[in-house]
Amino acid sequence: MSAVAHPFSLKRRLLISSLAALSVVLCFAWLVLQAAYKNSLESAQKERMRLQVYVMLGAAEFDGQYMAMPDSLHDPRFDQIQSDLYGIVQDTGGDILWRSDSSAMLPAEVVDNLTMYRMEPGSPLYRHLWAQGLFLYQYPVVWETADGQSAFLFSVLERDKSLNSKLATFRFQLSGWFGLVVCLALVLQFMIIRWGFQPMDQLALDLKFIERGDTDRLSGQYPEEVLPITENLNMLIESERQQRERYRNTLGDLAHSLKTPLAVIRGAGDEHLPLDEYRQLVNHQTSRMDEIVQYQLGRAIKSDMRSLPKPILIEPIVNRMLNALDKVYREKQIQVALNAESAVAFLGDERDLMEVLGNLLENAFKYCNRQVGVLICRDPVDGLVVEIADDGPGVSEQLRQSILERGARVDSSKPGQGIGLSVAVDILSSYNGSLTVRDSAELGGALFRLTLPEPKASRN
Amino acid sequence: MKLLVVEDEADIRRQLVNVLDSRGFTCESCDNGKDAAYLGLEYPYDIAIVDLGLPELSGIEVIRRWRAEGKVFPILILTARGDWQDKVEGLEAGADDYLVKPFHIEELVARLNVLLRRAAGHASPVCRFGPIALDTAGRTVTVNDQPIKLTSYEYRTLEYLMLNAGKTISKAEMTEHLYHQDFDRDSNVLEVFIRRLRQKLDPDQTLKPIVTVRGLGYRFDLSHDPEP
Repeated sequence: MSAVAHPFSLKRRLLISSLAALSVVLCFAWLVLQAAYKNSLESAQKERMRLQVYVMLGAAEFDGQYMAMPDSLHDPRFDQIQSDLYGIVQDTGGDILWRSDSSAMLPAEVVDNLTMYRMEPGSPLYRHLWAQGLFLYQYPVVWETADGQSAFLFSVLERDKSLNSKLATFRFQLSGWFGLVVCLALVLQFMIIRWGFQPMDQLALDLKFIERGDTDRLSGQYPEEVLPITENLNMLIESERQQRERYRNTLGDLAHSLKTPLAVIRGAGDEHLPLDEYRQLVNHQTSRMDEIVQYQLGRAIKSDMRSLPKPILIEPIVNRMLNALDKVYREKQIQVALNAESAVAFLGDERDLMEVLGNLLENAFKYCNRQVGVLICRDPVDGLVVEIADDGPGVSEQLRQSILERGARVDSSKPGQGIGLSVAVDILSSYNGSLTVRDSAELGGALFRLTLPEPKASRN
Repeated sequence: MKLLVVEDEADIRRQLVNVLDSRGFTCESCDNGKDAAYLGLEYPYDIAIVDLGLPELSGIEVIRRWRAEGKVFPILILTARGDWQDKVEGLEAGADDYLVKPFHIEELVARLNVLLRRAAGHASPVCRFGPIALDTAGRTVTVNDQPIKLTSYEYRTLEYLMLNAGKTISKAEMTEHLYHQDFDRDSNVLEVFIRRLRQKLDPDQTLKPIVTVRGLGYRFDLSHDPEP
């Protein structure tokens, strides 16, 4: 047997999706924050190097041949060998006029390449030399000297390891904080989901109680989003219970009511009746048994879908049945007057509707002389109304009550009495509807009027 | 009348065939929808009884196929459940009447006769042509209101001719519709029946209701001028 793959639970879905969403948002935030921090560090670095150049410019003295600098500049790192700050002054030809003591260990190719960038005097240049791990700030100037004008290039270089280490520290701390935020958010999310899904857990628990037989309906307090489900479930459970009850009753009734004709037949076997009489008796009792079976079958298979009904337009169903019956009763050349509000709908099972209408319409066709009238309308008091009238002999006052008796025991009914009306009444009462019979003022025969209450407006 | 019984329950099928045979129908039967669809399309039946719950092809589908192919013989459906959805669907598919199981054989025969009469265009159970009256319900024949004694085969022959009055019926068609397959088609039994019918209906040979159409067959016709 292949294992059935269960879909993820709702809680797990929400947790996984929250975690995924949070990770995406935090990754993005992490990238943005570290980029912003790096930018601010680099801006500060540039500003600092610009100041270093200005200090050099202020301190430098050129006598027309040599560039002189004080022994000690503002920042002592210029004087320390293997420090990470270097200063160099060159002329336009690239000849070094002055270099800080710290630059002694600076690779020669770095120094040689300092004049490769073409710049206008007064326009500074700031670059990060990734390969060498250095920041470079250069400032070309033109000075008035006694011999005319002289151009110089002031360069300050600083190792980038300090900035990189600050950035690494920041990234580490940022990751730590974000990790903490993720954990906290997940814990919060988990608690929110637990709280939010509490009604569903309650529902599962209530259903378990029903399964165990401790209760027969969902009785917990549920929020309005879950209420339609619990209400419908309660209706389904109730409907299923009723259906079970009906099956049980039907079986009981069936068994009980079949016993009488069976006993009669068995008794007749011992009576040594003449063949003709015996045949007639068996015939009569089997007809009776057939009626019992048909009636109980009709009651038992009656639909139990009332809990989730869908509207069924009555007029098209009536038209179908009229066409079908017209075929069967063609000889009578019956004139049918159908007067229907086209939008009138029955909220229930189509089979039930057909059973009720079929039995009533067939009676009308059977007993009419020439005319049958059908009215379908909506009444403010009675709800949905269907009237079926004919011009036949009508139903006598004495018979009216007995033919419409709900659940009339067929085994006690007279031979030949149809079961259609009893089944119709039974179905109608399960929808809280009713069936009455009176004389038709218009056609003179019987008028059967069935009413079904309109369903209450559904909850918003 | 040639009748097709389509019923999957062997006992009911046997009972139907036996009883209807004894009531003057020429019955053939089958127990599934597929065979029924084939038989109905291939052979000229006068009427069919179709159970709705059939194996291989449902009764409703069988009826639909017959009607789609232009078969117009009347069809009576049998339904065990008896709910209206089945009845309406059957009638919409092309059936002409329904009967819920179990049923009395008398009711079935009466319904079949109504359908046959209706197919022949007669509303009343009594088909009357001049002085000759055929009562399909009572299976009796009268001439000038005097009952005529006919054997079962003679009645069948006359009924078929009268329900198809005005139409020339070939010997082959009549043999096909009236008699079982084991009937000796080469014999002159049909001529014998026709001769006896003529003698019984018209001993003076004034009406001449059954006309021999040379080379083609027989026709029930009272519209011609009887010989003086």
